Parts: sequence; structure tokens; C-alpha cells
Amino acid sequence: MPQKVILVSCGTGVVTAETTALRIRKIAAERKWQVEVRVVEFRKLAQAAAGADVIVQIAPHDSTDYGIPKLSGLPFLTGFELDKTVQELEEILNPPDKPKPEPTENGL
Amino acid sequence: MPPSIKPASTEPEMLRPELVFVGLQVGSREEALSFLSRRMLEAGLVSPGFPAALLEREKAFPTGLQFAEAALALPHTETRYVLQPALAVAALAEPVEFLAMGAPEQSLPVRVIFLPAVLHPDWQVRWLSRLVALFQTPGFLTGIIQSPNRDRLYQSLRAAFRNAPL
Repeated sequence: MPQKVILVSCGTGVVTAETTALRIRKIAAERKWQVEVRVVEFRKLAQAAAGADVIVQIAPHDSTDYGIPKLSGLPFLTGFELDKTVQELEEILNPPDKPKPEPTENGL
Repeated sequence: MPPSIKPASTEPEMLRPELVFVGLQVGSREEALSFLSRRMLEAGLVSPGFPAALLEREKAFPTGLQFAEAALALPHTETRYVLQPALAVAALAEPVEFLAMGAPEQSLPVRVIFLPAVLHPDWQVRWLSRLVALFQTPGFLTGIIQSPNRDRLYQSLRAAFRNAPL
């Protein structure tokens, strides 16, 4: 599986984003995700999004569509609904295989 | 002592008794931030631009966070105003309103303020990550709110950090 890229963004790209990124790296290591976690300043998000698979965003809330999924990074700071967010992230990084259509058994 | 001549393996102490406050009486978040940032300025930990930059950043990117036991605020600003890493901690006598991080339409009654002065070496990010782990530890915030005095709070914070998971 090719390595996926997670972008972590906050207002200035320090403190909250760095802290969140470290916590995501820890979870990624535990779950053996093949990912690179990059911290990016909010202003540079559009530029960075081109090479990434998902954005984990702390603040400000940004409704721009960068063409990749966006998740809130707050659960990594507060722990509230963290399991749900980790699961969402996992599904984005590693989409479950689409169920294969049942083989047709014509005439049998 | 500038950080460059400290041995790389030693993490400088972030907590200082003079930056721990119990029963701090403030009427607003601005007053709280001004008070705490001025104490950091007086201690020579930040440059003169720090207090104003802190207020500006809180306005642009609010830092209130709601936890099960209490709401807290984690105000901070750019590393360029920081001379030496440190953390100010204040348990407030009465809650003051901070806007919520990532949801500025929401106002939170904050009981505890953690104000880190951050440079960005790796050890300090790990340290902040331990702080976040402590926020999620049952009893941590309640313990701070119920601390009887500065010395007890300082000692229990030191112990908590020593034992905190990354």
C-alpha cells in the first residue's frame, strides 16, 4: 500500500497542530498505518492539500473544498469521540473494499 | 542561560512556582491573559510583544476546550515572542468566558488556564502532548480547581508531569 499523507493544520501551525500531529503519529504507529503526518499553517493549506490524502483541522473552521476529506482534530486534544475520529481516519486512509457483486449463476 | 548551551538530553523545567496561581481573581479573559503574560514578561521568559500578540491570537483563534470535569483555556502565540519555554497555570476563583477552539460561536466557562510559552524543539512538543494526555486524565482538572494553595498545586503538577504518558 502506498504511503498516505495526513495534513494537520491550525491557525499558526504550531502548538495545537504540532501536538495533534504527534498524537496522530503515535496512533498511526500503534495501528501500523503507512502514513506521513505533515503540519501545515492554515494559510498554506490549499498548496499543501495537492499532495495529501486527508486534512485534520483544528481551527479556524474552513469550508473550502480542497478535494480531499477533512476531519476535526479536536478529538486528539480532548479525547472526546476520539475512537470515532480514529475510525473515520482509518477508513479514509484504508477504504474498505467495495463488496464484490455476487457472481451470477445463470442456468445453475 | 540560553537553551543552546543546555545539554541536549536534559529537558528544561517548564513549571515554575511563581507562574502557578490558585484562586486568581479576574473579570474577563483579557484580564486573565494580560495578568499571566505580564508575569511571564517580568520573569524574562518572553519579549515585550508577547502580551499583545497573545490577546490578538486569542481573538483570531480562540482556545477554550471543554472537558468532562471542567472547561479550560490553552492560550498561546507565535514562537518568535518566546525567549525561554515555560508554562503558566492559573486556577481561577470564578470562571471567565473563553470562546471554544474551532467553534467560536460557543462560549465556555473556563476554570483553569494553561499558558505555554513555546519554542519548538521536539522535546517541547512531547511535553505539550503529555499535557494534553493529563487533560484527559480523570481527576486532573478537578485536582487543580480544588488546590488549596500555590505550593500544593505546583508540587502536584510536577508529580503529574513526571508520571504522564506521552
